[in-house]
Amino acid sequence: MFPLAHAGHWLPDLLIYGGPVVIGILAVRYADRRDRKKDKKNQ
Amino acid sequence: MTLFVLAHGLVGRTDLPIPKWLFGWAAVVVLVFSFAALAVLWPKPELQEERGRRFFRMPGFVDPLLGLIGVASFVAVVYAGLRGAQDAQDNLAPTIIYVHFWVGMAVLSVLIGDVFRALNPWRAIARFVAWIAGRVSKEEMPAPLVYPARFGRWPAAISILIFVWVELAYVNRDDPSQLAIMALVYAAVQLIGMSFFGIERWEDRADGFQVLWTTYARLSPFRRRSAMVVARPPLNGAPLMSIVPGTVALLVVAIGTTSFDGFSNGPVWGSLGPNLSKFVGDLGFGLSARGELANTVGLVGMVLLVGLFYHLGIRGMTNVGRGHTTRELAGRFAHTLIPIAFAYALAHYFSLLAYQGQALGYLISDPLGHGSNLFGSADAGIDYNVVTATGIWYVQVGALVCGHVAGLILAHDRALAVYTNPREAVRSQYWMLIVMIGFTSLGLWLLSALTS
Repeated sequence: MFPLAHAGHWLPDLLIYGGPVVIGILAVRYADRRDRKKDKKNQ
Repeated sequence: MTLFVLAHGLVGRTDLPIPKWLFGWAAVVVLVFSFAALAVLWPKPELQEERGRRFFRMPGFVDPLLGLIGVASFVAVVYAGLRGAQDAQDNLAPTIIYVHFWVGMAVLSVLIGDVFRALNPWRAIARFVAWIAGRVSKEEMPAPLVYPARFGRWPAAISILIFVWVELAYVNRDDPSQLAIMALVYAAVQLIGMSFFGIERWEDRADGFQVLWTTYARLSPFRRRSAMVVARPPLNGAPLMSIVPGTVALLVVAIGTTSFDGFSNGPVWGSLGPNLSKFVGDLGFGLSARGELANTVGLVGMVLLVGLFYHLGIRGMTNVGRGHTTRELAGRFAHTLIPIAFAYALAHYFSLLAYQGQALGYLISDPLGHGSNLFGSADAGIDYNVVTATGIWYVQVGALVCGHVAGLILAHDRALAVYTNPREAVRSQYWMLIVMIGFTSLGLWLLSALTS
């Protein structure tokens, strides 16, 4: 049912438009953890 | 929508000066730079209180005149729908409802403020009836019922969802007589609601079109304060929106339904939709019900997906600071979705407005499609050279990027008011940045899929 037959069409788009979101989520999670560690140290 | 396929499915964009992936990543870079610039250059809340100065006084005759124009237009559309040729291309009703009313009014609201409040035909009728009743009756009119607080803007969100369902899923979506009957039913529901709960309370909460366009008008540099027109900084109206139940739902519906309109014209739904339709058919549903049910599933699914993404972004914010719940923050940051909802609508429907909007030229002379030529413009056509395909693409990308930068500004300003520590405020907005990047990427993908 999932349009795997057209993967060649949507997969590049997924990388182009999904890439920034995935990189962004990873970057935010990293920054969040780093800031929390800093907060703990300061406390 | 068969009527507007040409306007939606634009010509190919192989002649773009830079590849489409670069647009996607460049838009993200703009958002990240805007976020960094806000963190450094915007240290205290600037938009949380109403600002502005008197611009001019609206003459007393303007409101009744606009109300009269609104009622006359409504009557003309309903009459054309019921008595005119039952063809979407030749009848005034479908173009006026889907193009000028649905898209044009949203654009007008952002440009010049809440103009629909004056044009709103059912509000004008209700005010006129109330005025007559006040003159005729010797006793004071009974007070309206108290509008239940828990309803909030939910009736408006549901109305908009039903309207877009008709536009995108209903099999007779461009049948003029059915549109006319639905317009009459909608007006009747509004009149009954206003008679129970009061004109202004109902219009502020439950009339879907009025509530949505009033919400968009909060982005406008103009607003009405009784008879005065006030000029204010753009976006200043958005943070002043009351936080009531259904506000997030209304904006999520606006974004999700526009997204589905783009998605349903793209290759993924082109492959998924028929399979879903076949699955529904296997359950025993008829031909027309199959398509309707498949589109309904897609429409509701997209709305839920948009809502879930916003919810996840807000949930990420609760990691910062103490004592803030997801529910509380979802309400306090709901107004940041207003420019996104408008940007989606403008980006998606700009070509429709630019091309199909011109149809008013000949439809106004021959509103019933019976061959009349009331104003001598029945032979006017649609000039597809009025904007080039590349020009439309730039407007679409510009609208999406500006809308999301505006969303970031509103979110940053609200965060500075919510979090006492500016560092916490910036940290909380990491997640809002992801929400904005996600919505920008989704918007660009929908547009690129539509035009590839």
